[in-house]
Amino acid sequence: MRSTRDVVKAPADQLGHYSDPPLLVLASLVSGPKHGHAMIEDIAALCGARLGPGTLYGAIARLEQQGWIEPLPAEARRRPYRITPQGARVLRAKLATLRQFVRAGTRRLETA
Amino acid sequence: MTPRLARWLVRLYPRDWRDRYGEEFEMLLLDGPGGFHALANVLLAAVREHLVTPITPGVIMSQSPDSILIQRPLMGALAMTVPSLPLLVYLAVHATEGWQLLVVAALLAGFVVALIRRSRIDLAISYVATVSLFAWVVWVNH
Repeated sequence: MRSTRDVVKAPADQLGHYSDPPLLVLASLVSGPKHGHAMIEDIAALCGARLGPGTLYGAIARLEQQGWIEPLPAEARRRPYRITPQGARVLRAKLATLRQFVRAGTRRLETA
Repeated sequence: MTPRLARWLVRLYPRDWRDRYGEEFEMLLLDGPGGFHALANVLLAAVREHLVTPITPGVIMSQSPDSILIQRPLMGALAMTVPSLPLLVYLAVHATEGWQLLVVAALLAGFVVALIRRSRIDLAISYVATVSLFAWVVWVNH
């Protein structure tokens, strides 16, 4: 069985990438409208996670249904999406929660 | 990815989903590098889309994207488990070696564990494995 010591010794990039597809899509679209392939590349550059096409469109469908992103007219059969004001609010709230988590986690690490 | 494979993969999705996203999704598959991971990702996502609430453009839901995934767990579980049982019986009846029976038993155990754990992904994997094995056995025997 793998011990926790192995995990601690592992370089950070071996622990996997952060992956929350809806959040990553929102974070990608906040810098401007993008179509699917551009989103995958942007997210990979943003955090190292490369979303599969099925995962990406699963997230896009749910986010659109929520009204957090909206489609723009298709360009050469590729449809760009943009974040809505409501989506930006959700992203801001989610990032604030993550920031709080990072701060609390870092504090605990420092005192451990 | 080849245009033919991309078109075939899009056809695995529910009709409502295809009507809304089919064309742009096909373009994304053509733009991407393809490969085994992309293929497996699309296959699992297609199974998942059959289990989630149908796409209703314009209908805004109040839950988070995580919580709206799979809102019909019982229906989804039954839709995958019930058709799989006769396939497993067929495989068990046509097994000629002990190891083949073990594979069938492992698949059955996979369904049982997935249902107990209420794990949608385990259920989907068991379903895809059963259907693939069944298709392979039928193909080999004919």
